[in-house]
Amino acid sequence: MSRCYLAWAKDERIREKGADGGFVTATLVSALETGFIDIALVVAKKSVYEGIPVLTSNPEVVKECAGSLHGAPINLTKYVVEYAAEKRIGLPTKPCDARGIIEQAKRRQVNLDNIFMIGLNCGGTLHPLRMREMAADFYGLDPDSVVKEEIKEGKIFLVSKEAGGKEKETAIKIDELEQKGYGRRDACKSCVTKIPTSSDLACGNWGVPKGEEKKTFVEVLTAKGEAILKNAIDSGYVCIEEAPGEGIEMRRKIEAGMQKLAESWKERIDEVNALSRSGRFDFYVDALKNCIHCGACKEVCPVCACEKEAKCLDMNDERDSYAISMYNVLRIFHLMDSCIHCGQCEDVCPVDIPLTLIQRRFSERMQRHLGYTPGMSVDEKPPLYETELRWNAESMMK
Amino acid sequence: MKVISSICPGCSIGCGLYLAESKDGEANKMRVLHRKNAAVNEGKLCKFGTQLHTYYEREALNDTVDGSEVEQKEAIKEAKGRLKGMKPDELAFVALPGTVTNEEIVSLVALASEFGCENISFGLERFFRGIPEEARYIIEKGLPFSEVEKASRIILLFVDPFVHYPLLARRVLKAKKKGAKVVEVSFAKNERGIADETVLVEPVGLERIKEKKDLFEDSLIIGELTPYTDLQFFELMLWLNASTSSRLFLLKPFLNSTGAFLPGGNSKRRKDLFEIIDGIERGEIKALYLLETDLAGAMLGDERVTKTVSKLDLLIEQNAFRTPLSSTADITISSEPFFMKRGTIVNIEGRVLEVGGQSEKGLQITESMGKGRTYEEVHEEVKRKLGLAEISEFELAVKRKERSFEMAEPKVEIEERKGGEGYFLWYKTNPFFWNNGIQSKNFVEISPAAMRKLGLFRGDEVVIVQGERKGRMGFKISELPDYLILSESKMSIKPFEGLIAKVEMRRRDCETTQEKINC
Amino acid sequence: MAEEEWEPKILAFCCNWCSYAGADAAGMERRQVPPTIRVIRVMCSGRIDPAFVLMGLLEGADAVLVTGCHIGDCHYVNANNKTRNRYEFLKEFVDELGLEPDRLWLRWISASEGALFADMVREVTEKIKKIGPSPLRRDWKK
Repeated sequence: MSRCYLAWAKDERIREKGADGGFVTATLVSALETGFIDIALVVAKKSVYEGIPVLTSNPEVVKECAGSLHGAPINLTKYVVEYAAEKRIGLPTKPCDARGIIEQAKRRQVNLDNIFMIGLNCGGTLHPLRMREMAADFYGLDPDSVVKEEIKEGKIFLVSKEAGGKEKETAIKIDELEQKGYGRRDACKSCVTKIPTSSDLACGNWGVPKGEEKKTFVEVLTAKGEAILKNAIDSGYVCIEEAPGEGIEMRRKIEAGMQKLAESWKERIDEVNALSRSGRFDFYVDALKNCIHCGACKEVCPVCACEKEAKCLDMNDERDSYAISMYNVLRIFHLMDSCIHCGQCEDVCPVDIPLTLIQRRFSERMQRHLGYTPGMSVDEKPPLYETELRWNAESMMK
Repeated sequence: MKVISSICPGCSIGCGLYLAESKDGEANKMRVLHRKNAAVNEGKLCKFGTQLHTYYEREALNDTVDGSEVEQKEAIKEAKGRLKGMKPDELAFVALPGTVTNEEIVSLVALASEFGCENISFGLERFFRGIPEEARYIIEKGLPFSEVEKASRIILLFVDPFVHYPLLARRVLKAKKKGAKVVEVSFAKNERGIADETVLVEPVGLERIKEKKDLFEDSLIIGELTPYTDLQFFELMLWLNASTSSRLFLLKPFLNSTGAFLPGGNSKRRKDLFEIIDGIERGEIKALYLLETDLAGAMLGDERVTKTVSKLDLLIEQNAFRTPLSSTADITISSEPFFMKRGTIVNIEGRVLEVGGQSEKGLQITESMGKGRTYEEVHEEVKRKLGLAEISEFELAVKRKERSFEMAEPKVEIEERKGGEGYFLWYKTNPFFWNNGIQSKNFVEISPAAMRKLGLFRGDEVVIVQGERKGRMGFKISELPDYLILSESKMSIKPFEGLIAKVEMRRRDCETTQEKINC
Repeated sequence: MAEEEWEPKILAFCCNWCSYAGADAAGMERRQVPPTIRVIRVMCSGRIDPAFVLMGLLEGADAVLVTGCHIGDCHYVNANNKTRNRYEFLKEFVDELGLEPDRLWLRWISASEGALFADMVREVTEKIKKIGPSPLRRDWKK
């Protein structure tokens, strides 16, 4: 079904403000104006370091929110569940947003038929405060003077407003920054889902030929994606042309390159790999004993759908003196088949438990064992809830 | 979905967060979201912060005069009139600065001076008494957390960062990762093992800390200052600081403790909270104005407060929420909840933070009784007093300079702790402790020896007895000295100074027939 | 405690319709079963929430045994298939956590297989004695 196009917003203002031709903004605006969707969920930019999710049916608000925002590592899944589960909603989705929403759909928290996911290719996000430090330490800028940021061609571009009102662009290679412990979040560095293949459209600048900037490479992934694209074209908001063959190839190459890099980051970040069995045990106990049971990791988890009536909360008694609390054990256990490695839990952990690493270590081996990748297709149920083994039962019996 | 940026009023750290409408769209229901761009906490919150919505979902206070509901204007007019009728010495103002902005503090101080009254308390005044002038900065100002992270040697002086100030814990952990040595001086070993070295002290043996003075050399001492901190112990902390090359960082339970001392002006002549309560008891103080202060809640099972307050001729309460004293107050004036306020606070690091709201209701209550200034005027005064041109959360606006001072070696012998059998109950304070809205835990921690002695089994409860007072709690076993009980929740047990109490403990027996059957 | 005195504590979940009766049969047949085992009877191995097993380990059990009816013989159609599925998760979890894989067992034992039950307990006990007490076990000092 998948077809690839180059697309851009007809409205020059949207095209200018949005990243790479403003296709995503134009599509959402058109869908709102034509009544194709009831509501859109976008991230309003307060500064390059701060974005606040906004739920709106006003196309003007959506236009305001155009442009990329790498310094606001938000996962939109829980916002969809909380505020728009009943509505026909359109939203831009990073791969981890899309995967989270698919997982929630599996758990019947949202109706996927009503959700139009305009996927964004994603090289990763940055923690806003790390980005501030980075701007000061590496770019030599006053963090507050940075007005725009962009990630392209393996570099992070920061645009700052100079004294005379002039804008200055500084670029540093991501690799160089990350060698020194800055750059993207750990979860993003080691994420291999760079193109949101589980959303309805996948958009980005990978595969846009040189000289054709201000265009978006769009891949149509589902019938819903086709419908919202058709709506945008028919209502005159978006122009498309067939994507050139070398563009498709280029995009594939970029993705493969980033995936390879991510795999190597996984190795580099994983301090547990080198440990012995008992060393591993000590590592987990030492890391998790710091937990103060604030419950934030569960609250923000895009996969968890248990709300207040959760096993990990019910079976956790703070009077127990276990080496690892039931809360942590059960959360890790329940996410073994479903963790999408988005890193939201680590972002909010008040005692800095390396949850991205821990969840990844437990879930990746299980997911490999099961041959299952969560958040990809709503038809694949979470294996933990299945009666039959996911893998070939006959081969197990032998 | 409306999202506003706000600050957690749980403790003096002042974590940034978002408050969003909850999905039902019901008024008074909200959701806490993480603000990852917050300079103080990177969006990370402790249990109190993540449950902050329950704090704001409490019953709101009405405007009343002598128990009957009136318009706010009426209540303010009545309050002003009645306050005018009092002699200046008979008046007292108390504001534990948990949810009070700098602007409101400046306004309150101005209001009190309008009445010619010096009796204002922000909760910690008595610690200023009898200490060298050069040491005052230690009470007034904290240190930025980056200093904690940079420290090479950290002493945790009766502070369990995971419990007392959870957002401090990650800073200590970071320092430790960088190679810092962490030493704890406490009644019990930290259950998470954050310290490399532990010096155990008995509640009656605080003198012993003096022998360990060398430990404090070249270190960052992290302690806590609450209205209940023992004075002798406080002097000991100062002495340890003065006689070694160390820095003393005192955390405080109320969000704007730092702000209360800075723009609020000279705190030297002010009365202390306990002095005011004594004054009421003696009949010298006849009128009390409570600004956003749950006095009964902050006073830890001290029924003296409720008894004392009934002696007053006039009790005026200005608050957003009802408190246990609201029903006895002569006049209640409703202000807005903290997150709606327009104003600034100073956190323990010295960052001046904007609360994030737009309402000036609370400020206008005190201003309309006093000078009648606008928000902008008061705000300008605050900025002038803090020496600020602009407000940014990324700026450490209030800096402190380390000064050396002389302290005589204090004697630390706390008579009332001595003698008798039984257990010591140590209240481990935390944000839940001072903010009466919500409780966190329904158990105490006891030693394995105590558990065996009392014949306790899993799921049993203990009764903690202090004379007439009794508290019923579940239990958890921890590696504690045999005589120690730890509680993170308030009980009806009254501590003496230093948040320690002498108690008896026994197994809770089955009281009803049904329970006996279950046993 | 001295090394030789140490006796493992093994937690066994037994299905009412098969392995519990199997344990019974072992007794009836006067087979020697090491006293290391503590049996919890459940109506079906499918009732055993992985959380029970994990809690058993956290409580300090040196090994946890999950036993049920042979595949195809379940009293409730196919609930022991779920058990098998969950066991795969538990196995991976226990291994990754850094516990020895021998601390977790899944065995299908029918009501008539008393000998099998006794053998299993013996085997588990021997293995656990070799690998020693569970690191999750907490001994409070006296």
